[in-house]
Amino acid sequence: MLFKYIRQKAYEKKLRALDVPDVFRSCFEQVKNLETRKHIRDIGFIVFDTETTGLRPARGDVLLSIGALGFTGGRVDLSKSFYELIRPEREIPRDSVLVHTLTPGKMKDLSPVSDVLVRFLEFCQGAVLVGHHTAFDVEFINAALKKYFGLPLANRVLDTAKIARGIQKTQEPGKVAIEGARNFSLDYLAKSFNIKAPDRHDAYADALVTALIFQRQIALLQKEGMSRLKDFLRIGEVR
Amino acid sequence: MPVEATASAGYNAVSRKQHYSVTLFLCACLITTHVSHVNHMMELPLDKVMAFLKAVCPFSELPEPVLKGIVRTLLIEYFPEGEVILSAGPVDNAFLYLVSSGVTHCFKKDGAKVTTLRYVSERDHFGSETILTGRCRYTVQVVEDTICYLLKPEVFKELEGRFDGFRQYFQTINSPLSVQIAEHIAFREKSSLQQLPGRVNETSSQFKTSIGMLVSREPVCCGLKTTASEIARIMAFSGVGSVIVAEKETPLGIVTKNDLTAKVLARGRKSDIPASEIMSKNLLSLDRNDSCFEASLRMVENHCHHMVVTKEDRLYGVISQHDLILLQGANPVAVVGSIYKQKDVAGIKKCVRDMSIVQEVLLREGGRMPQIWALMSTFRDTLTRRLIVLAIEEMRKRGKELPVLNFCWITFGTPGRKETLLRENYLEGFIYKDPQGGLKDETVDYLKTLCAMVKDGLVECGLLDRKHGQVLCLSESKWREWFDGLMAGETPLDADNLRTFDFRGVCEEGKTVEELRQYVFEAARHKPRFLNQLRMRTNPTLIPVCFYRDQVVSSGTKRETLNLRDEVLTPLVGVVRLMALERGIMAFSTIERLRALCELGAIDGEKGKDLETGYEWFVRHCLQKALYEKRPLDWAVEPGKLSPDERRLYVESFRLVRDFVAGSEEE
Repeated sequence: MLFKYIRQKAYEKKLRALDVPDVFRSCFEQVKNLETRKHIRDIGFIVFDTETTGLRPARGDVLLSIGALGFTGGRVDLSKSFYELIRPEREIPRDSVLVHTLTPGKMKDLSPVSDVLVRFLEFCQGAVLVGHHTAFDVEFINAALKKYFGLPLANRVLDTAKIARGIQKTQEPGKVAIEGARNFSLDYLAKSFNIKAPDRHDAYADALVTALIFQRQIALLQKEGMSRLKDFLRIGEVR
Repeated sequence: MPVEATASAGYNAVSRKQHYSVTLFLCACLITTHVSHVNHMMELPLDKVMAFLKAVCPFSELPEPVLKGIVRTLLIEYFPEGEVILSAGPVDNAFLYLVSSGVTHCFKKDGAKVTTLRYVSERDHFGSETILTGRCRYTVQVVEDTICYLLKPEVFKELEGRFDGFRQYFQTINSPLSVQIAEHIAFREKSSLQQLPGRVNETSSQFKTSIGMLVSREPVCCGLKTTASEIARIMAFSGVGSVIVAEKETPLGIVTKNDLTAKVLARGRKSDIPASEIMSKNLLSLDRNDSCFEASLRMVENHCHHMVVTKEDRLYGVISQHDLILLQGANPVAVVGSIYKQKDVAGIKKCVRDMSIVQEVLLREGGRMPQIWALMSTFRDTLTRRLIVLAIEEMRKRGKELPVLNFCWITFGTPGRKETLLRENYLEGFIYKDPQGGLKDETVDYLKTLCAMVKDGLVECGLLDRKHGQVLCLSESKWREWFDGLMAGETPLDADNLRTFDFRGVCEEGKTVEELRQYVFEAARHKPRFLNQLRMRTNPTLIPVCFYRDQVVSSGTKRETLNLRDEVLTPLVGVVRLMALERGIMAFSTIERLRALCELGAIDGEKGKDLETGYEWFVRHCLQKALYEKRPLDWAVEPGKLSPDERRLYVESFRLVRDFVAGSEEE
């Protein structure tokens, strides 16, 4: 609690000091007032995913796209969809082009990352973000946000992979104690829940699959008596 | 395909402007924060959702731009096994639930009694009535983990307002079964039915073309006193083959080229003989708005080639068999004419193929089953009569003359109800008046030989089962004894014997059979024990309840296939027959019997209409499937091959028949 309070105060101080778009302030205010004791069905989530040029922002890898959709009352809301490609500030590695089929020609008319991130924040507001192996995505988003605005994301973030491990711990405690929890890939979880993935693999499609997985995880955790946001943050939050 | 073309396939044509306004509306359903981003947005990879929506009726008929808009308004919800999605009663948060995966159970609960309505699985939907009425009539509970796409009520209402077909579809779902089936047939006829193999699109439908359309000129008329030579001149001058004999625009008869040949030239009569002496007086007439099928049927039944067309009861024109043949390649009149010309069984057998072609054509053209049954019954009767004539001629060649007897051929079972589809029958009969002093041995031999010859002919033509088919040749008194034995329980009342209560005469002179029918129906209604035995034979629990995925559910068991005839149609026909016998209703067909029962107040009018439509639709659907899949009609229904709408109609029809059969059991 104390760390949380200190972090919040530090963020607020920076927010006052910096000349950032208003959306940063509104997001922060909403996150600050987030009621974690609320039932999970009463919480607004944004499920998201990103595509990048590589694995490490510190080595110059950058965001290529962000896909996200709304998730409220246990329902995936396709009317609340976000999917934008980003004009990269560096040359895209050949391997990355092959993975994402985003050629330099396609990229030149796109918005710069700073514009896309502001629109993404406007889309998310103070909602709890959900992703799969989210630490990776948050690292890239925060790197870009810090570069252009001097501030990281204020939002709380859940990771479906961490939640999956949490569920495994409650369902197979003995196995986890001996072998450790397994590393759940998105494809593995989708397959185990019999979720048919879209034909295209991109940020939006993966966000949609993540949302469907999160839906199942909610149902599973509710069976275990975990139905409040704080229960989910406890086992699946990315700090 | 252009947007307009797609829309008009299933819906009233909507202008391009309307389409765009719908799309814009649907886009407006996206969240407001998002609208400002539209320019930056990439196309969403919702291909799977789009493909799903395209497979769900009635969305499958909406234009693609509208569908794309709808996809972006959907919610996706997951329901684990056991969860109740909707409860009976008022519903605050209404949606249309489109099932993407899983199975839900729709049921009504009355105290401890749970009545299954249906199981809803992939590509089907539920909940429309919650949007339309704000209430749910049943409870929906998840049987297998289910994922649903939820259509928001505001989007539903918008689509309803914009697309008449969409509105009609959901209105129909909540209508009586007869309306649902009629709408379903109309909808199918616009789409898949037209893709049946062998369809000749150029030909006009006999059901939709009025005979007035075939009249190309004013009728050529003459007076009663016009001479034969004058009539011949009129024909030559006008280029027609028939002249109407009329007085003050009232048609009295017709003189055809055949009449001039057969009644004047062949008999060596003078050419000044007046029209009144050579004209055919049994003039058929129909109103110009009647269908060409009706004209064909009347010509077939009355063995004539011309028909007068009237407009407000006044002479309008003349149509001939030739006109109908030009309209439609396979013409019923031509088929019957062909049967009359055949000199042997092999020739008649070829006619059966033509009959089947006519049946297929009528089915493709959207013909109703009562019409098809009526025509096929006439075909079958004509064929049987021709076989009898050929048999008599053969006997004559052998030096044996037909004894002076009042006789008639009887057909039993499905053809006995005038519901034949030209399939193998199991029992035919021959009835003759009891001669005074009994029959001579040689007469008995003659009749036995005659029956055997007709039987062989029917077997050869595929209208009597080769192995089990039999022809009973009995006198009127013996037939009465036969039925008395059945009603007294001396002969066991198995399914075959039950069918003998559906019988009728096939020959022109059918008085003997009519007297027998009256005797049987009169006797049956006064035999409560017999009627009770019939009632005991009905078992509503054998009738399927619903489908579960690709399986049929009945009495707690699940099976892969269903035999529609044995499990649904036979119980229905049986109960209708029983009710007809109880009330002395002499109608032949199940549909006629149902109508008579409604008139008597034995069945509620709406229920009777639903049963009638359901019965007809079951037969029509099976027949169409067999035709489409190019296989013999075997009445097997594979649930996996039914569309969600067909499954819904099947299940509702099952329930209707089950309730009806159960109701009769309680009586």
